[in-house]
Amino acid sequence: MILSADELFWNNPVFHDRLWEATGETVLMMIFTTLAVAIIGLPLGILLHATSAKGLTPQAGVYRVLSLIVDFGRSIPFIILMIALIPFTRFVVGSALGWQATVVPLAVGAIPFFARLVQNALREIDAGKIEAVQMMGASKRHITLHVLVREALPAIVGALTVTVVTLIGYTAMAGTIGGGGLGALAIDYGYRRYQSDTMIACIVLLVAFVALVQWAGDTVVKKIDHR
Amino acid sequence: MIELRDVTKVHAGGITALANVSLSIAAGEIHGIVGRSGAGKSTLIRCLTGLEPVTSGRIEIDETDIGAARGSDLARARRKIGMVFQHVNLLDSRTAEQNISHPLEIAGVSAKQRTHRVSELLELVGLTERRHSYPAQLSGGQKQRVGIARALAAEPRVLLCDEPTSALDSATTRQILELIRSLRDRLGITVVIITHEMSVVREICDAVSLLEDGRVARTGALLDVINDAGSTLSRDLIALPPAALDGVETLVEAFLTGASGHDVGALFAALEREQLPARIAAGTIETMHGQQVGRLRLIAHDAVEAEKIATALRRVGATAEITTAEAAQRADDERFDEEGHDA
Repeated sequence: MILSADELFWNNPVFHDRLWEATGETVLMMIFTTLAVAIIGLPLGILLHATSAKGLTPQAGVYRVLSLIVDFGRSIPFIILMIALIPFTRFVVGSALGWQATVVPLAVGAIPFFARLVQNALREIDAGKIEAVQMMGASKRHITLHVLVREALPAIVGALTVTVVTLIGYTAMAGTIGGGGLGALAIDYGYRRYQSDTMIACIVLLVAFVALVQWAGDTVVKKIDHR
Repeated sequence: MIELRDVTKVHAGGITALANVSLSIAAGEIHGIVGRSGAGKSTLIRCLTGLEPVTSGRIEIDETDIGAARGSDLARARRKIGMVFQHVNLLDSRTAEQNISHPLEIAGVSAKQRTHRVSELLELVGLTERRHSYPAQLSGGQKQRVGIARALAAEPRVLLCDEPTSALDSATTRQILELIRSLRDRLGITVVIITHEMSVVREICDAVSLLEDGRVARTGALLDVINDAGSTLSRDLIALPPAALDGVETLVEAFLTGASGHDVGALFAALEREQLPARIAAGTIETMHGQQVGRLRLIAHDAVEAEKIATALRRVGATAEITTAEAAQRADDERFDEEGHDA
């Protein structure tokens, strides 16, 4: 069966065969990567701040090592990181293809980025507030969790929003080497098979996705920010 | 209540911030600590709270050696001290009520007792209606009230105030000082106020210490310090407003306190009796602890007249010294008080 592209424009079988599946994959990728970034990146950012010269437990040596690792992770372009990580991804997920495999390089790329943003957010907390709580006889643990993180929470949620939006862009790059999701669909059909309608649909969905994430992030920040 | 003995603090860079500071602050007293910036006030307060260890010497608060305390001992010792900050340092993520409750949470007080105590404190500082407000929704004065309530939450014996009113306007300053005084009267706590505003000292302090280059240059009861007419601290506390002294050479500076048994009017009566002119370049009159304290700068034609004026004033118990316009100007320039809004 050979159909001309004109007859099928906006009536493309890819829409019901693949589009919703790809959207679901993108959503799943984002959820799992965001979880990994939050669970690993937040403590890493706290540790970076704590060991820095301005932190509660300055450890110049530890800080330098952590800082080096974080900057190493941040300086590799995502598309190269993804390829370089293929053996590791195979080890973790069992395959280097599909959306599950994309989660690994996405998380590895985003964790150091988010950790730095967390460190910056914590650094912004006024030293006077910490002194005030120290005067109450608070432990370092209490200060870290109930003063630093709590006071910086709006900034941390903002940082997570920025990170997730960046990740959505990265998922499209993953499409070029066999990742899943909307990015892969746009490249496989929209680009390689000249299906402009698929391309447009993917773009619209990705833009909607970014808008939704940004709106959700802003709403949460508004709710928890009392400054 | 607070005893400092030979406290010396040398910073990491080798700068001596405090040199053999000895101070004694009695229970229930409101004690002002004044000095230029860089005189060691901030270091002193950081040492008092144990935020910085002293290099040598002893700091005792309510018979606990703060300088030697470490870890949980230090945490326990700190709970005897409530601290009020210039920038209040409330947590933005907590409501007024939750900020006041914070020290109690840290001290492990039960939720039920906390609620009870917080209500008490809110009433004490007059903020019951604003209990659910976040700091961003409160005015500067209200924030400082919350700061004071928070400092008092764990029932400290000492309230340390670091420039508590320096960020507030003069009407709010007066209210906050009034609150501090009434809290002292009601709770019997000892209050230490670090400030660069002489008006604060005049208004509520019972005693005052002057720090200069890390040393205690002067310490004593407020009236004693003021009555020491020639001292710089007395000049700062009862300061003359600036006056143009162009074309004037000889001046007489008079100082009268209630201790003489006269009020300031007696100075003018004395001059009138001797038929001497009373040309006033500048003057200040304050009433403290029910006594009138005044400082006058009078213009004299020549040295002979100045001598006559001085003698007449001394007869009614004032101190009077003859000076030149140039010397008076120099003394004014040495003042460090910046209370422009206070005139």
